[in-house]
Amino acid sequence: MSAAEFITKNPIARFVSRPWPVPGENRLVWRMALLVVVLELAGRGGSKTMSLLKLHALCWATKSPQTLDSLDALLSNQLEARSLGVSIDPFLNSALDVAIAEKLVTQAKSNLGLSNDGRLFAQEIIAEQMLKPERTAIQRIKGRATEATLKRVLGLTGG
Amino acid sequence: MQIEVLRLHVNTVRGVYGRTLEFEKGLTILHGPNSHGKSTALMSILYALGLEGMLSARRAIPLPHALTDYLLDGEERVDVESSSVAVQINNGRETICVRRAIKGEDDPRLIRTWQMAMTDKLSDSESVDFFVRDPGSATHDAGFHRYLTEFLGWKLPTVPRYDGKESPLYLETIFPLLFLEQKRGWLGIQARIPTHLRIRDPQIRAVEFLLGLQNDDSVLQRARCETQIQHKLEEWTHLRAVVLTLAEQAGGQIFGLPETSKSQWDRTQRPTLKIASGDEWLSVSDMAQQLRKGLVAIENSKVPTVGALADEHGRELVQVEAELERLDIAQSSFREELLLAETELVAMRERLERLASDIVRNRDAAKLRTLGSASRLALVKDMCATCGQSISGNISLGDETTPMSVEENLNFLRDMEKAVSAAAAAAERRVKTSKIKLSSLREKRSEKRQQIRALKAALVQRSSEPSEAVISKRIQLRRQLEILGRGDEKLSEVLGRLEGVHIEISTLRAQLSHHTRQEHSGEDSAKVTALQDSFKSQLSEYGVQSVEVDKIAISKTDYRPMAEGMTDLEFELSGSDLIRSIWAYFLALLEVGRTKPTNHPGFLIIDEPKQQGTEQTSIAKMLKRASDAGQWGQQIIVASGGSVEQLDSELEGIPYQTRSIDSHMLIPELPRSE
Repeated sequence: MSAAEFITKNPIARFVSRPWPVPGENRLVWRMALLVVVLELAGRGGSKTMSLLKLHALCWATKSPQTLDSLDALLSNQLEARSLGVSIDPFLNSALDVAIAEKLVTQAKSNLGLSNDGRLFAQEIIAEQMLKPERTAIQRIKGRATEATLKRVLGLTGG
Repeated sequence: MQIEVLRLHVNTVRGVYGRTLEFEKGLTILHGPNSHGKSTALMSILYALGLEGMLSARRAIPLPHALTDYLLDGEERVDVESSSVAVQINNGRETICVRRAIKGEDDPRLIRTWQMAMTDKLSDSESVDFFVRDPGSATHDAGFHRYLTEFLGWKLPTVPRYDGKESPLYLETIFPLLFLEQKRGWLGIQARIPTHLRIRDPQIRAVEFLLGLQNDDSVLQRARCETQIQHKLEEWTHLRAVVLTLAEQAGGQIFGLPETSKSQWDRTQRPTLKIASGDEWLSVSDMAQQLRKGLVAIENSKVPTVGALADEHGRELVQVEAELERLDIAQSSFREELLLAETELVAMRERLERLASDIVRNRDAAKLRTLGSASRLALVKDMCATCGQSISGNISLGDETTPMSVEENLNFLRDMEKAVSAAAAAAERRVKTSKIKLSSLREKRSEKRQQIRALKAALVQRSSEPSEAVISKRIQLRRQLEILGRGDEKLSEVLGRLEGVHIEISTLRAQLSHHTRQEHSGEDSAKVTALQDSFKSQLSEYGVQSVEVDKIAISKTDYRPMAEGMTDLEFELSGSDLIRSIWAYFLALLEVGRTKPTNHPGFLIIDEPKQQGTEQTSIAKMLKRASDAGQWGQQIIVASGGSVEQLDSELEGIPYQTRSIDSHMLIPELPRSE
């Protein structure tokens, strides 16, 4: 029997497709939870509004202790914006679309805010002690992360 | 069990649409042109029983848009407001109805049951409700699968899982042998038994259960034994490493240390430490004796004067300096070892941090779905808020294979955490070992340096003074004896523990072989043979040509059919013959239940394979064989795309029923009065 015949008659491997792990932050419901919590904790006024830029920046800051420190340093004028990787996260925009469709988040011109349902959701999340590291990060940075500072430092125009 | 009625009910903006199908014992052929919903009807039976978990790990509802979104009435699109499926089943003792919502107000995780036959007046207030698709449905009192298991008269065995734990043999593992679905059921024998429930060898367990084979719990015992052995092996490896390190510290080597845990530990020939002395290996006691002799010699004689020893000191100095150089080289290699181990430890710890954070996020994602304010979100029902279609609830990067569900992901992450923790612990141990080696090396180097200093000092002393070198040597000998003693003591202790673990492992291994698969009892053997006979006779009947049917056998270890030479039959078959074999296997399991006591519930649901082109395999012969199910009180429901006329001519003379779906599956119904 030739080698090829032998291998055909005695298959050594079967390939089975297995499911793929999804990082926790890519679970849509988690993303939406992060969005409403960021808006609730750092938004302005009764509707808890903020610009899209600020939303992206704050969500980016909650990714890890390193990103939080980076944004903090940036906002306290200790770093050049160019040396950072602050990015616009396309996944966040998808989650935002869903949040708006679910009527948790409202959109007025270039500002985003929370509906009543959105605020309830955020408050329940906070009451249940969920998303702790992310909330701590927001509390730490929200003082420095004003709309004006962000616009200046991140050098982006528009929403 | 028998499926008696299937009822699909859809509320649309234009009124009620639906379909009621009644089934009897024996062979029933559900036929109609393709894409008219035959597969939908069969899938909704699965869905009503909460078994969509046997198709994939996702919670997505396996039903098409006609039941979840919109249906077509002629050319017009009619939006679905709510929909449900109800099934009436009979287990020979009682008849019950179960209903499950597909879209609408009712939670699809809820299944309502009534202890009566299907009528239009199944009121919610009289139903007994159960939950499904949450973990625990198979064991919880309020779980539907526990109820269904009892209804079927089954007792699910406990089986081992991949992570060392145990679980019941979930219904989702067994039903793929009763329900042959169109898309992937025809890919292989035992093909669709799911693995995401983490049960070990689920295919073997499922066939064993269905055939009612003697469930000796040797399988469980083996799994438990293996887990224990794994733990002990880790301890064994660690202790052995410590022994080797201690030996090195003492400046010696261990002789007689077993290389693997598989050997027998000889209590009469225990491993011993031997110390290097020049070219020889001395036992600890011999070395101690040597040191003592040297010490006594020095102490008894007068410390010689420097002048007398000048030459000797000179030679010794050269020698010791060379030894110091060797130690320096060893030190840099140990330093490198330490650096590598420390780097790895840091990397492992970072990974653990990221894993921990991912676990928290996934856990939160699961918990978020249960929050009150989340319950009315379309997302939590795995639907899009705008268009209502099924979505997975994940942000995906595009074209990938199935993502894991949150529960699967959590299990996966916890497994990774365990593995990385073990690796981190191992790295930590290596760091410790390296540090011990380095510090012992430092000690030796300082000893040597001291010796060199003393020798140099002696060489410049006035010849009449007692040699400092000799005094220093005396002190050194004393120290060496002390270290030797302590090291030996410590080593004995660790060796003692190693012995204990080694013997434990040998005992466990002996237990393991004792728990080896018992041979099948006579009765069980007969059942496997009956399965084999039915399988082979069917293959002959169906005209299988690509293998020699005579030489086929069903393996007694994994119940898969084997061709000549113990190769898996599947690889030898042509496409058509594979279809025949899969049918034959399913039917064989059913047929064995006719004459022998098995757990087979006595029904099969088969969705004909989608075939294209001219090479269509005729299922007429297979249907003929299936038609005697009625005589035995069994039920087979087959969905087939052939036309009525074709079937009639091919199946002349055999008993069967037909149900035809000649228009769409869902047809408008007159509004029912409340």
